[in-house]
Amino acid sequence: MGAGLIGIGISGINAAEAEIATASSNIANDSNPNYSAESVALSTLVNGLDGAGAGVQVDAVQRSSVPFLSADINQATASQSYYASFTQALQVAQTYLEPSSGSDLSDLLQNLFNAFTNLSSSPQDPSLRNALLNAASSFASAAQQLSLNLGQTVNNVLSPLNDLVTQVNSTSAQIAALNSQIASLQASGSPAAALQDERDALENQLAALVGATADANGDVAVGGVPLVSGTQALKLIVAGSGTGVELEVSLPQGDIPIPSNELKGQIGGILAGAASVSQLRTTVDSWVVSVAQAINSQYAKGYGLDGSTGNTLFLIPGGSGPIELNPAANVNNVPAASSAAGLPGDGSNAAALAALAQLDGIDPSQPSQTASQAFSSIATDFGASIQNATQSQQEAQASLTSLTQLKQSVTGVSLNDQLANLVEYQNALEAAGRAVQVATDVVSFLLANL
Amino acid sequence: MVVSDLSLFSAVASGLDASYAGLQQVEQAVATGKDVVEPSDNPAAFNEAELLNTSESAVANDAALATQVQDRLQAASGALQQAAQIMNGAISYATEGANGTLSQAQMADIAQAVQGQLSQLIAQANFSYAGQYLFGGDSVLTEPFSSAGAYQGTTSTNSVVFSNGLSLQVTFNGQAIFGDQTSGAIGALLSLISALQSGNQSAVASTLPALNAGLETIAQAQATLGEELSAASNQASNSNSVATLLQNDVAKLVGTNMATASEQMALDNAQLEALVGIASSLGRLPVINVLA
Repeated sequence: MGAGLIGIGISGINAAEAEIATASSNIANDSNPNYSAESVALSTLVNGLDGAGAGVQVDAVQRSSVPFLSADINQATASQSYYASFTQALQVAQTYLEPSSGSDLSDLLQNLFNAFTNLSSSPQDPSLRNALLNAASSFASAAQQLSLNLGQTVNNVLSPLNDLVTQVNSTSAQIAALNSQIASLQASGSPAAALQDERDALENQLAALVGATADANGDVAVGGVPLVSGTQALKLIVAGSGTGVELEVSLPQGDIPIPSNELKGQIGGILAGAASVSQLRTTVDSWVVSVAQAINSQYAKGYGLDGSTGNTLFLIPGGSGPIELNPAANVNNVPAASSAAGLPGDGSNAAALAALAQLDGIDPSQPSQTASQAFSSIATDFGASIQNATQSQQEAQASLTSLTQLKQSVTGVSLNDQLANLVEYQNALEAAGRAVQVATDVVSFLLANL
Repeated sequence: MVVSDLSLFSAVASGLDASYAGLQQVEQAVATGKDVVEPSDNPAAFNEAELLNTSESAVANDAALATQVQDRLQAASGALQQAAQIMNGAISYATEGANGTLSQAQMADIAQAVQGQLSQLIAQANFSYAGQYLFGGDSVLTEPFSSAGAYQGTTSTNSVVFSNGLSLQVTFNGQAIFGDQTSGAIGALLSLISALQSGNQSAVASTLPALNAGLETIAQAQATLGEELSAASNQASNSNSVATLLQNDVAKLVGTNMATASEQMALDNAQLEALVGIASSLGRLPVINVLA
């Protein structure tokens, strides 16, 4: 009976110590966003002889979890990360397309049309001819620079891709290793809470990186293509280059491409952003070439002060831009007149060139719009896509915040709760210790008096 | 349900971030005077503002050009006015020479005076403005008339077309206005000189219809040019007004409403203060502080 009394007390001390340790671990991880609060599962020990209570035992240290939320959180993370990268890429491109200070291509084109109008009033005036060439030069230079900047933006957006793929592969390898460790611990009946928390965090990282999804066993896939299968991590590789780049998973039987529309996360956002900026560049270059061709066509019909005709204002290398000011264009061969007989005072060809500002369909992709209207449409459409992406990012962020808070309400640590529990566990420890002391005194008394 | 410390503090942190972001946005709008800086700020407003800016650029250019054209036409009008006065003087001489009271010597003197008037008329016909001759058609760099009164210009003329479609003539067919050695005002003066030099009174009288016709032609050109001048003046005035209206429209679309911005700043600041207060309160929550 004495040994039972002492044993009961000691079981209480052990249980209290386990609870204090768990509460301490919870408190230590209060600020750890990847930590799931733990609790001690106790059960009553029963004396097999008479069914009386025989103390308490620690069954397990349990990890709080909400598995059904993790997938939603990862999906929201993937969306938020995708739209953040996508939006950032487009915003950089937008600053080139529409400088916050200074003139855009539409402004510079209108300056050129204004210069043609002014020249038509005094076609023999060298200062007006110079002004026209300067306006044309400004337009061509700005078009060139914009094309270069957009191209460089595409390169810059894609530049982190290899590093991110390396991160994906590293993270996949870590998850595979954890799967192995977790399986071993669970097989031996040992708790694996900390490792499961770590795996959850890594799965969330993969979601943020590439929009990967994971199941309860730690298998990870992206677009239906496996990245982690049990204890095996598969390698993600980059195929192709530039905006034609694709991601593939390397399998023994061959490389499987991941459909681009299935790619989310930061990598998905980068690829989609690069594609959008590249498309913008193509659209703008096409607009510039159309404008240059329309101007050249009318330009060639006129006569310069030197009597020359068939001149060209813009060069279009390769037929697809970016354009250049024709270095042969000079003050004397600007063709303001419509005929040689009209020299030098006829400005009707300059007037015809100025009238191109009102002409619909210079850009064939916008047949019912003038050149300026078409450019404005290009900029506006691009801005609208940024606005939509920003809205989507905000919605994803709000969703992520709500889901995270919901998860935290179950798995998070409240210092108030843990500290109150500590007081309770401390009292229990002291009480159990007192019980052991009393039991010891009883045994001593019995031994002394028997 | 657990109210975890992490969610408490992260919510406050998110709120603070949002408040600061809102304040930053308002401050930028106030500093730049623009609510809409990029297309993504407000695509519809940006599109409309872009188109208005393009129109404003064209209209502002029209205003400046119309003023220049107005100055040119004003100068041309002055030359025509001088030409009309010269013709009136010549008609007076012709009338005097035709009255039969003058001797041959006197008529010869008048012939010299009319020769002087012819030179003055040709000088007006050869009037240049800003380095170009206005009455030579397209031949703006060559004197329209020789000293003998031969027309050296072209019959074609040049016009400026503004962005609203208004067309104003800026060079003129001098031959149609002043004639030449055999027609018009110049031709009539040459005939008068010849008649005076011959001392033939009836010949002098016979030049009067041509002189009057020449004056009439110049007067008609003056009237036409006056209409062009008026149109140029209206174009300059209207273009300036339209440009101002367009600038105002752009400002309404993309400019910052300072009253609204001030209100928003006050709200953002109040929110910020409230969140800081909450953050401060959260710091006092843990039971350990109470137990201590």
